[in-house]
Amino acid sequence: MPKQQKQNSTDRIQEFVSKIKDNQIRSIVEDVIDVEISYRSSSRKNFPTQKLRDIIDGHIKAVD
Amino acid sequence: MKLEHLELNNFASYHDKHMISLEVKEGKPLIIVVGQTGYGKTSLFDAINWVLYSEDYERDLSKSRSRTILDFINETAIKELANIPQTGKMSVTLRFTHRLVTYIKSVSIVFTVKKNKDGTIQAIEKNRISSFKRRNENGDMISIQHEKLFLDEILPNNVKSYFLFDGDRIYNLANPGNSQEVKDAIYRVVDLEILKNAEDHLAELAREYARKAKKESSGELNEKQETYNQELENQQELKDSVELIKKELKSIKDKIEKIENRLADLPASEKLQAKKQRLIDHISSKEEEELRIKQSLRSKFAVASYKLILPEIKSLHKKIDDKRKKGDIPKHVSETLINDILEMGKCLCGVKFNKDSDMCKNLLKRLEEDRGKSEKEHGILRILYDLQAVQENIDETTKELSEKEDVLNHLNDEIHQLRLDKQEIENELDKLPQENITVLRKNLKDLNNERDRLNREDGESKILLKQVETNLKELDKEIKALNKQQKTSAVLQERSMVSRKASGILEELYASFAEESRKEVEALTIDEFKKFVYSSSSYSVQLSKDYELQVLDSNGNRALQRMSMGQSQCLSLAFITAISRVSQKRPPLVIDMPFSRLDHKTHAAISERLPKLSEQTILFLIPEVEWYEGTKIILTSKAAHIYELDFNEKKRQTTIEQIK
Repeated sequence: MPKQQKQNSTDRIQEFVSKIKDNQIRSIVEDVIDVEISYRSSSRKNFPTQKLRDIIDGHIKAVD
Repeated sequence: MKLEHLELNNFASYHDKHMISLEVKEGKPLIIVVGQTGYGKTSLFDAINWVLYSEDYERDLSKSRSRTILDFINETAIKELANIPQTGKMSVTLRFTHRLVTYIKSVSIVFTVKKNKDGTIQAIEKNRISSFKRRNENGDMISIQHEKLFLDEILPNNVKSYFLFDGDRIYNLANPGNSQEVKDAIYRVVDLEILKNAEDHLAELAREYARKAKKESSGELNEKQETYNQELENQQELKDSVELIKKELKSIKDKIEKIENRLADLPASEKLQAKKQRLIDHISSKEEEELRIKQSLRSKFAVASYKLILPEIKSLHKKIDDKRKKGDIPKHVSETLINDILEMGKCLCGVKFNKDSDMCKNLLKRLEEDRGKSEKEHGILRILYDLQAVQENIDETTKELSEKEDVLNHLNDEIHQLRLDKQEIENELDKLPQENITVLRKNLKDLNNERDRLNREDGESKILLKQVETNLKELDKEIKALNKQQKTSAVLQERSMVSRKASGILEELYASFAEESRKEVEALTIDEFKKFVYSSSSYSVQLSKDYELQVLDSNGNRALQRMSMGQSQCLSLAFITAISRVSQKRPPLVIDMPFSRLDHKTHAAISERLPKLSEQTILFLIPEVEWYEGTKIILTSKAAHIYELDFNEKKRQTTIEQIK
């Protein structure tokens, strides 16, 4: 899906998320919300928890 | 999103192919489809839903209307295949644009026909084909891989019911005690659920990392990790408990409000019931009086009927009287007088006579001659008196009949008026609840007690939650200090802490996002509602923190239950428009029978506003009831296309005629 459309439809959430002062947490929350949006549109059977683990791992490694 | 073109093939009452353009123009955002009930309006509504949401819509159909999509295959198309071993096809294709890109979505079912033993024939699904394509810059149609994901971005299935809806749904949104429905709408349409789910998933991840960290730790750190995990579990349990209490409180509040509204209407209902009973008693006593008069009249009718021969009676009376006066009827000498004279032997003049005298003989002769005449004269006189009495009786009875007829007419008028009054009260009572006030008051008391208990429990849980959060912060510090020696556990613990922190921030974000969305929806609803009806200026609209759509009168009293059906519907439409604007999804509005429950005055008010609600509004209207001179004048100039549906009863098929 074109990135532009995804951004437009969640404009209000993005705007709120951008207010998070902690850079690390803001980045994590942005990525987690992307996963949630994709999941909402899926068959909603198995939530991709591994994707969230990867986000947390990735951000902690990035800080290290 | 703008719908452009709909094509149906053997769908519901649409046999073979039917096409309908839904393209709107600037200044003409309406598409109007007019058709009687059963002519296929709702089938168009179903077709749009099916082609967009396929399996999801089929699940809704089965749940809400106990129908399967196979029930929509056209009857004639099935019959045509009854004796031919071939397949048929039912399909719907929708072309729409979204952000200047054209999309075509199509769904079809290939079917065969099976003959049952009882002679009925039914369609059997053989295959299902669906496609979703978009036009690229070169004009080629490219398949879209993740249909659901894509549609969800445009008009998610879980919010479609707020944009593709019928009149009943509009009405329900603004009913007292429907705050959960209103909250759901905001929760889904403005994407609050995404934030909530993200918060929950991160909290779960924090617990998972904490459990792993404990496994990797040893000694004092292991003990601290155990306590930390326990506190995390406690925190989650308390959060779940607070959430549950909140839901229960909301549900109880809705119930309390519904009962209070019913109770508010009950005194009026009781008063009307009493008035109705008084009228019933009054009608009954009047009817008894009417019956008595009718019975008394029955005996008079026979007498009064002689009025028909009254002229003859009068004429006879006159003839006899005339004859008597003329002396045609013999007069007799009084027998008693002659007998007295004969007895005394002396005339009245004093002349004496004896029995042998001529005078005595003459008197005896006269006495003999007049014998019998006396009876005849008496008889005639009796007839004369009787005739006189009959005349008087007939006159009196006729007069009495005429008077009683007047009384009966008056009674009839009174009974008719009383029955009208009773009907009017019954009509009013139909609108009001007929319930047992004692039971309702008891239920209200129980609910209030339950609310108080939950409020106490909520307060206690929140205090405990604060305590748990303080404990967790303390443990964070202690574990960090101990972690210096145990690297693996330290990494896992850090992940847990980051996840927990992100979840906590999302919790705060959710609260402020929800509150801001609520305020935005409230402001837009107020604005829209004012534009809908001039009479709304005396009301002020509120969307409370509990998502209760409330209307206050000029004295600040709740007035939702006092609003007319039209005003309630306007409020719902104002709310739907508001959430649509806040969501920025700009979907089309597809409304099935928006005016069917409203009076003509309200039609005009809503008609004026409908073209301004969305860039595209598709209306399904019933002729005469919703589509008549009043609405035609207002809506026609704003309509890009108007279609009229016709239904052939014999063939059971719908045809579409474009009238604009």
